[in-house]
Amino acid sequence: MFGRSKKKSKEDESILLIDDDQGQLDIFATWMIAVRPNADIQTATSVKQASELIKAHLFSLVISDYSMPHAGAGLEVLDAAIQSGLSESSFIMLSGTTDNLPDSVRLVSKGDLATLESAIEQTLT
Amino acid sequence: MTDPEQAALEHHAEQTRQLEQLLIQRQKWLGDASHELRGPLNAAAMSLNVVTRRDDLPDGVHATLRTAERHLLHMSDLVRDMFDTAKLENDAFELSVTADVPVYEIVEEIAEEFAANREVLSLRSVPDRTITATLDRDRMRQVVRNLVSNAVKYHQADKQATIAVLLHRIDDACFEIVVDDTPNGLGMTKSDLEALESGQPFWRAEAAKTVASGTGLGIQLSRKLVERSGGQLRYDSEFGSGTIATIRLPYSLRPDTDAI
Repeated sequence: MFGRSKKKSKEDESILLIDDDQGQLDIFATWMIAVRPNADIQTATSVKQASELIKAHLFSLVISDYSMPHAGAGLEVLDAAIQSGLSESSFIMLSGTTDNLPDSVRLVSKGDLATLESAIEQTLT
Repeated sequence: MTDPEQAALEHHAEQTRQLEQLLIQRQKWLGDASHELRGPLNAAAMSLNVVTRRDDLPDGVHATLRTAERHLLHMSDLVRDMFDTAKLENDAFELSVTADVPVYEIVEEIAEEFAANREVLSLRSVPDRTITATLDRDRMRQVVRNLVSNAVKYHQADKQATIAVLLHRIDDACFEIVVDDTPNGLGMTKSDLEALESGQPFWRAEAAKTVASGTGLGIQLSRKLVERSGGQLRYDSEFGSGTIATIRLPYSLRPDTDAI
C-alpha cells in the first residue's frame, strides 16, 4: 500500500512488540525504549490483539515472537501485517528454535540482542 | 490374504502410526522446552543490557553487568544447542529446505555481523555471488555463524583475529564455504583434531579453554547440521597458526544419499 513502507524520522517511528509472556514483553518494551528512545512503542500479548492494533495503526516496525504459545503463531501476525499493507521488510520474527520458518521472513534468534539491534537499525533507517 | 495376515498388517500399521505420533510429540516437547527455558534467560540478559546502556554507572559496574549479560546469553545458546543436539540424536529434527538460496547472502550477513567485533583485526568475505543452493538457510546461517564466532574467539594472545570467509564453486555438484583464521588463530594440535573427529559433545581443546568460554556443543552440532544437509565439514589446523574450516555442500540435497 502506498506510503506504508516510507522511511520515517526517529520521532515518527512506531513499533509493535508481540509476545505472549507479559513479563518478558514488559522487559522487551523497556529494552526497546532504551534502543529507540523517541519511538512510540506498543505491545500485544496475542495474535488477536496484535492483529487489531495492526489494522488500526500504521507501524514502522513489527517484531513478533514465533511461538505464542504454539510454534508458528508469529506467522499469523505476519499474515495480518501483510494484509494490512505492511511490507515484509518491516517485520522481524524472534525465535528460540528456528525450525520450519519461511525463507522470506527476517528471523533473529531470540536473545541475540546485537543482531536484533542491527536488524532494527537497518529496518528503520 | 488370510485373516491373521490382515490382522498382523493392521497391527503393524497401528504401531507405525503410534510411533510417528510419539516422534511428533517428542519434537514438539523439545521445541517447547527450549522456548520456555530460553525465555527467562533472554529476558534477564535484556534487562542487564538496558542497564549497561546508562553512562552514569560507577566504575567497574558496567563491565560486571556486561559479563553477567554475556554469561546469560551464553547459557541461552547452550540451551539451544543442547536441544538441537538432542533433536538430531533422536532424529526428531527436520530441515526447512528451500530452493535457490543465494548462499553469498549468508556469508556476507555473517561477515558483516562480526566485522565490527573488537577482537577482529580484519574480516574479509570473498563470496561467489552466482552460487545458489537448496538448503535450510537458517541452519546454514547457524553453522557459518558458529564457525566465524569460533574464529573470532580463538586467536593467539596479544593478537586480533584475521578471518577470511570464502564461498566458491568446486564443480557442477558442490561448492565450499571456507572459514580461515590463519595466521593469527589459536589452532589445534594433531591430537586435538583426532579428539574433535571422534564427535564427542562437550569436548574442547585444552588451549581453547584458557582463551574463551564455550561448551563444545556448537562445533559438533555444526558438523551434524552440515551432514544432515548432505555435506561434509572438515578441519585443517596447525597449533599456533590457526584453523581452516571447510564446509562442502551439494547444490541440492539428494534424498537418496547421506553425504557427498
